[in-house]
Amino acid sequence: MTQILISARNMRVRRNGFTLRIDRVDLSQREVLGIIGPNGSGKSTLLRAVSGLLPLHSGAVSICGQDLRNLERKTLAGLIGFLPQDVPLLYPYSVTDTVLLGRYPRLREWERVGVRDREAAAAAMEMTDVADLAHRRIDRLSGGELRRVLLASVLAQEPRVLLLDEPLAGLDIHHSTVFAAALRGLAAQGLGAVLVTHDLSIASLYCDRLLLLVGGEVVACGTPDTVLSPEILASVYGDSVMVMPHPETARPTVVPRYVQCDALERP
Amino acid sequence: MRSGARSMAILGLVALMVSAGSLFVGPVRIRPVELVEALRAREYGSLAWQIVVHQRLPRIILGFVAGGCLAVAGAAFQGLLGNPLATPYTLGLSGGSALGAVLALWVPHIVGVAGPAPPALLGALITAVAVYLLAVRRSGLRSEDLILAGVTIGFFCSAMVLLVRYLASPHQVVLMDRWLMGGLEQIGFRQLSGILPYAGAGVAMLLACHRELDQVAFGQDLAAGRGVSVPALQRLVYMAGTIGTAAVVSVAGPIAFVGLIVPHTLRRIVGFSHGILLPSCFLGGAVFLVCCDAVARSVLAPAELPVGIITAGIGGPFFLFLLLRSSRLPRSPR
Repeated sequence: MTQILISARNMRVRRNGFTLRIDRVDLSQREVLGIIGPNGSGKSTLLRAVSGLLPLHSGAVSICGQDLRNLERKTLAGLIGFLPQDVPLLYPYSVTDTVLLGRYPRLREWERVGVRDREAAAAAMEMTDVADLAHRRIDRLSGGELRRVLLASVLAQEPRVLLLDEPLAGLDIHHSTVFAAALRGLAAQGLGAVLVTHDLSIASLYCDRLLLLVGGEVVACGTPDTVLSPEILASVYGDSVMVMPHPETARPTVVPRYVQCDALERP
Repeated sequence: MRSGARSMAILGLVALMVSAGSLFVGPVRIRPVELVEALRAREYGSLAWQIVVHQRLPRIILGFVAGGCLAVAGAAFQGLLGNPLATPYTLGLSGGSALGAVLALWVPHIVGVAGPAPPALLGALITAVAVYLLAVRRSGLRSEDLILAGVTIGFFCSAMVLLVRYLASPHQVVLMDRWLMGGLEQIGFRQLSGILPYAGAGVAMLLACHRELDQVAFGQDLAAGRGVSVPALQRLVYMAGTIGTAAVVSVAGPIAFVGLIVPHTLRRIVGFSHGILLPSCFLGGAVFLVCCDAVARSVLAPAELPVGIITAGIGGPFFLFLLLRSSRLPRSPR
């Protein structure tokens, strides 16, 4: 049976005068939840709060049935794998070493990396299709390869939930699709995933549900068909987008409209 | 992993051999045989025994510990702050300790009591606390703030050092310049035992942070998401690096470049994992400084060069060579 992995109730997060309000959101196993919305709408704030990086102002978030406020950092990292938007690469570690670093929350204070950790890292690299890059240096990878290596390092934590902050940013359409498909595969194996993205069409194709945030408020939440309706999109993004059914799946696909420059109306 | 252990074993062996060998380097030529004879005859008053055991041994131990401590602190700061030029030494500490020492030499009744080492230590610790307080925010340390605060306070202290030199008498200026050049020569076992606990504690704390330093190399957010308490790590690394470096600088004076050149060189040899890099830096820094000191006391024998001139004189060009050969320092792509 499917289990509820994350459940947020009346959640408020305050940050630099900005308030994020989420009254009710759940994420269950095998589900991919897409978080969409314009820049500055609170998408990253939501992920950072659920990952324990930002304190909750009020409300309750439970992770796998445990209250977020009572969870130790390392215990939380064993449940949630968080991939931030910006991951600076200070040193050119090898791909294998990078993925093994994901084992940190699973290791006790003085414990060394062991067979079990190497197995978990190898499995994570298989899942994201980077096993053949094992000996490469991370500064010599393409953008798409690097994203999948970082996803593997988060998977090596063996989390129940993945929280991915714009992992598709900067990827070409092929690598975006491969990444999203890999995420779908991971969900099929029992994980839950939250995907923050600006790519509405990918979100529509690969997410079960979408949460649309504007200015810290939930504007719409539900299946891609309901959230990506022309009316809702027009109210958020103005009249510069149009929606059409995807030729293979009939899910909504968002395409830019051809607008002459003097006719552009601000949302 | 295995290759890391091997390079560390080689480095350890080299460190031991260099330290033992440099016992017999110096203005007075002493052969190992003389020492063995003195030991066999139990003649601990002989000149050879006096020079080797009471003059050279403490300064070699100091060079070993000081070099190791400066290098480990440099490597840890570079990892923590994500900046290839960060070391406790460059973040205001050298300036603060110099100001402390120079002030003490200028106002002689302080020197009469304790010598320039305690005021230098005090100066270093005061600047370190000031830099930390200037850079710390509720969310933790921002590396840019820390570097700016450190460099600014360092320049301010240098200006104050110049002012004191300008006001001091010629005799005092000679003493000040000698301290400012850095050196390992005026040290006995008593002073050595005074700084060993601080240097040892600093190095041990930094070595214990190696896994967390690997995590923050991928940014504070990823590290925090994996369960690293980033502000606590910053406090611990900053405190440990500062205490160790301040202890070393207070007795040896400012010795430039060890914290930069040793970590950058060793990253090319043993790799980037701090679990191997930090202990390698301790051994590598020890070898580097012991060698530089051996050169310093023999190249112009019977006169001695300040070791700070040798570390910067050898270190600078070598560093540039590495920089040009690889065409860039480690940094984030894009």
